[in-house]
Amino acid sequence: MLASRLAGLAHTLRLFFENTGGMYLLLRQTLYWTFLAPFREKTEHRRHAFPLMEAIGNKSFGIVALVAFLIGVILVIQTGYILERYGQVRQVSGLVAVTMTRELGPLMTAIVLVARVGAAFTAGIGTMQISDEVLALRTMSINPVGYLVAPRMIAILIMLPCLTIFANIVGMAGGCAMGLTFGIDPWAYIADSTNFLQMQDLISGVAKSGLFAVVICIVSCYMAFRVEGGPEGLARNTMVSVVTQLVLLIVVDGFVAAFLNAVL
Amino acid sequence: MGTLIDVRHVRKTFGEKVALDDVSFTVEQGKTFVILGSSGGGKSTLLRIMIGAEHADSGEVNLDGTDITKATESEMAAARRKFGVLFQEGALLGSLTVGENVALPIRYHTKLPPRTIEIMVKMKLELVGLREADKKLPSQLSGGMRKRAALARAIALDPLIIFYDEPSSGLDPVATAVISQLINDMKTKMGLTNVVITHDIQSAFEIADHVVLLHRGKIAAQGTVSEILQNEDPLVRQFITGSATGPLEIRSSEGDYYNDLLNI
Repeated sequence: MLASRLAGLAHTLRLFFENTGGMYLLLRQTLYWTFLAPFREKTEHRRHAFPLMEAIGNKSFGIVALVAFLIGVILVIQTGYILERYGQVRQVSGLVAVTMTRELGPLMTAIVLVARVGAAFTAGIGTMQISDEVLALRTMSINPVGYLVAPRMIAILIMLPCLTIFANIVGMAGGCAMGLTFGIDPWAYIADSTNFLQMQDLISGVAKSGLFAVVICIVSCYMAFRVEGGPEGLARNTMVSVVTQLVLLIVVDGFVAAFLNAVL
Repeated sequence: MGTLIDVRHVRKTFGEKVALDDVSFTVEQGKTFVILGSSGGGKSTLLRIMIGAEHADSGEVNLDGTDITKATESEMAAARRKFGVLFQEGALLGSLTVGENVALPIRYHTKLPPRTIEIMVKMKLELVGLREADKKLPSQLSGGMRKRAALARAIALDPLIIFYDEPSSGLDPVATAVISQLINDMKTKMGLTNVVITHDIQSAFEIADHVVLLHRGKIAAQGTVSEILQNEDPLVRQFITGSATGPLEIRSSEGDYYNDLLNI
C-alpha cells in the first residue's frame, strides 16, 4: 500500500519536473524564434501573425466587452449599497477603476482568452501533431516552434494587452452605467475615476497581461506538442492545458501582485 | 550507382517490447527498396529511425555520408534536404492550399522570387497530375489526391530519396495503381531512390527492386522480387500468399482459456 503510494508520488513528481522542464525549454526556443531568429534565419512571422492577431484580437472584442461591462456593473451592484450606507457612494468609481485596471481587467481578459484561444491553440497544433503535420514540418527542416509557436506568441503578446486596456475602459463604462442607478452623475463618475487612477495601476495591469500572454501561449502549445494516442489524447491534453493555464494565471497573478506591491 | 543508405545493426525497444532487433540492409541509389511486414512488425519504427524522427537504441543509419543516429541538429538539417517523406495520410498542412503546401519548403529554403516558386509548384503538381488542384484545401481532396499532393511536396526541393509510409493504405485499387505508377516514375524519370514501407504485397512487387521482409522486428528475408517469390520459408510463403494459418499467427492469446472463463 505504502509502496504503491510512494510510487504514485514519485510518478507525479517526475511528471511535474518533466513538464516544468519541457515548458522552460519551449519558452527558451520560442523567445529565440520570436525575437532573435527573424534577424538570423528565414521566418514567416508576418505572414502567419496577422491572421492570428485577427483571430485572437478582433474576434475576441465582443466577448471581452460583454464580460468586462458586466464585471463593471457587478462591482457597482456589490459594493454600491455598502458605500451608500456610509454616504460614500461616489467612491465606487475609484473602486471600479482601480480593481479593473490592476486586477480584474487583465485577469478576466486572460481567462476569456484561455477559453477562446488557449484551447484552440492546443486543439489546433495537437491535431497537427497526431496527423503527422508537425513531423512533416521537421522533415522539411522547418522548425515547428518557429513556424507554429512564434507567430502565436507575437499575436497574443500584442493582442492581450490591447484587449486588457479595452476591457478596463469597458469595465469602467459598465460601472458608470450602473452608477446611474445610485444617482451618480456620469461626468462626476469619470472625473473621480481619472482622479483615483495612477499610472502604476495601468502599467501593472498591462505588464501582467503580457506575462499572462506568455503563460497562455507556452502552456497551450506545450500541451499540443505532447499529444499522443489520437483523439482521446487530444481531448485529454486540451483539458489539462486549459486547467494548467488557469492555475498558472492565478499563481503568476499572485507573484506579480506581491512583487509590484513591494516595488511600486 | 553506389549505396545511398546503410542501415547497420539497428535495435530499438519500447520498454520490454523489442521493436527492431539487429536490422541491417543497404539501399542502392536509383532503386526502389521495399520494406514489407505485417502490422506491428517494426516497419514504421524503422522508417521513423531512418528519417531521424526516432532514436535507435544502438546501431547506425548512414544516409549519404551522414550517420542519422549521431547527427547534430545542423547535420540533420542538411541530411533532411536530401530526402522527402510521403506520410501515410499525406500530412499536408490543413490550413494551406495544395499549392501553398508544395511551395512551403521552396519558400523556406530558397531565395527564389514568388513567380519562380509558383512555376515550380505548377511543375511539381503537373508531375503528380494535380496542376488544377493547386487552389484547393487538403480537406477538399480524396485520399489518393492527398497522397499525390503530398508526393509533390516531398519532391519540391528535388531530393535524392523519397520515403513512403504505406502509400497504398486506404486507397481503392485504381488510386493504388496510380500511386505505384508515380513511385515508378520517380525512379525512372527523375532518378530518385524510393524507400517504401508497405504491407501491400501486390503493389510492393510491382515497384520493388529489392525487398526486405520484417517480422517481429527482425529481417525474415530479403532479396529481389524473384528471390522472395522463390523463397521456400513458410513465413515468407504465408506472407506472400496471405494465408490465415502458418507461422505468422495473428492470435496472440496465451494462457489457459478454460481457466480464464472459470475464473470470471
